[in-house]
Amino acid sequence: MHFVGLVNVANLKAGGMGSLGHEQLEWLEDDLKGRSASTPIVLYAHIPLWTIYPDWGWGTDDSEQALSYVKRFGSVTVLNGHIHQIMQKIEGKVSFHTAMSTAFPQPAPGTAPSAGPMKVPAEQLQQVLGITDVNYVVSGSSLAIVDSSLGG
Amino acid sequence: MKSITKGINKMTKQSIWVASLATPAMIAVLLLLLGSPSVRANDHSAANATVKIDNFVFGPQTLTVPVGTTVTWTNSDDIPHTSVSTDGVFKSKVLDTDEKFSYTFTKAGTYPYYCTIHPKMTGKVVVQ
Repeated sequence: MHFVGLVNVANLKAGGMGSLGHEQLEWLEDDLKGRSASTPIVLYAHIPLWTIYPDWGWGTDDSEQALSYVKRFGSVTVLNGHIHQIMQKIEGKVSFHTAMSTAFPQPAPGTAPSAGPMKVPAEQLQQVLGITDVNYVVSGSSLAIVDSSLGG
Repeated sequence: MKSITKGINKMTKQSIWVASLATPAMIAVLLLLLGSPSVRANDHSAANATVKIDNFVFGPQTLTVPVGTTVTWTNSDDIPHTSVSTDGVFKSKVLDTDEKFSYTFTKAGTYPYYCTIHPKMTGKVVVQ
């Protein structure tokens, strides 16, 4: 397995969302080069690497380029945070997953005037806070199947 | 000779007397002249202006002020924010709830700024 930690919260531009930056993207491309496509890849980044809700900055402006570098791998798992709620998405062989926060929940996209902390009745708080465990399970469905043409 | 000397002494005494009267009067006039500009600035009642940060919004989003105004940003939101000029003119530290940041605008112009933690939050100060 190959794990990559990415920073998309630095040098953010006014009016933008998360950003990986040109230098980091070049580094990522170089880091993945030459790795066998059957290597399971895990990417970490604070702000989601897919666009969830641009109005609240929930996305990464240049993540598409990063995702293009992992497209050839048979198994890619993207782990994100930032939005203080669980959201999941599967796109081909890439599965995205965001985690809850242990501090406070945030509202679902567009359901509140802002992304600020969501107040819940005290007895409900423990349900909306949590941590995510990721385990590698050997099972019939977790093999990375990679097709390649004879042309390479 | 004595009378001339006496005369000169009298005159000198008089000039000293006049001078000692004139100087305080001149100082008083000067102070009056120097004092009035600040009186005029208070009449503007815009020497200070405020921006309230709340709900991920800078309010007002566009603030128009005269040259020389000190703008104070107050974070009234539940979470930290910053106020940073996009052109490197000013930069606040991370403001926790109820913390403030001030900047005095000494030159006319338009100053766009944003929150570096939540870059979708943008604002503008127009200095005229």
